[in-house]
Amino acid sequence: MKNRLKVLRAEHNYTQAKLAELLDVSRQTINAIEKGKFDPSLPLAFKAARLFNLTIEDIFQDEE
Amino acid sequence: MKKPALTFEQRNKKNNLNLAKWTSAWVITLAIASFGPHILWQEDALFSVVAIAINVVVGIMMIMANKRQIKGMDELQQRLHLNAMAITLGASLVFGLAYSVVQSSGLLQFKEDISHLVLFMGLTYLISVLVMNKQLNDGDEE
Repeated sequence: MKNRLKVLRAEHNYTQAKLAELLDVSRQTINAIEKGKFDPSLPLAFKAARLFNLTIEDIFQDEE
Repeated sequence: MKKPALTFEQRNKKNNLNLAKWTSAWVITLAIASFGPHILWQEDALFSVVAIAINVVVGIMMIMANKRQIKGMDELQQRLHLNAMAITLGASLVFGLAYSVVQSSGLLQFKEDISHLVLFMGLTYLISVLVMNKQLNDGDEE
């Protein structure tokens, strides 16, 4: 699954640590999601979408 | 007054500390139950039973603290530890039974102990977590 988390984070001037704090996860998780090594759960995806005022599809895209 | 909610890092740290405390207590009570009969209470059965009971109760508290620690992790960490547990369980089963076969066939003359299994499981778990953490952190930028 592709995602725009890194771009959105940069647009909002968040560090990985800050975004991790806002989403209540570890910085390692943010890094793994950005690198495409880990796909977040639906609740975490919704949380990220709410934080950036976007829909889940705006952040995460299926790679098929 | 309501306490402010802890951040993820603070919660994790608190749970880790709590687990460390209960694990230390369990190790101490295990040492007392193991060496107490010879050193402290000269084989008195009542003291031994009490020491073992305390060790089991503290052990249960340690299990609860471990459960709380895993529950407090985020979804990636939980998955990582689930994988490490699966590897540990599988390796213990496969190598434990293979060792049993090797010994019953007389190929190996080694006096095994339950502590060897505990050590094997602990090391397998630790190595699994470290390797998976390293794989995840490769290319870490911040």
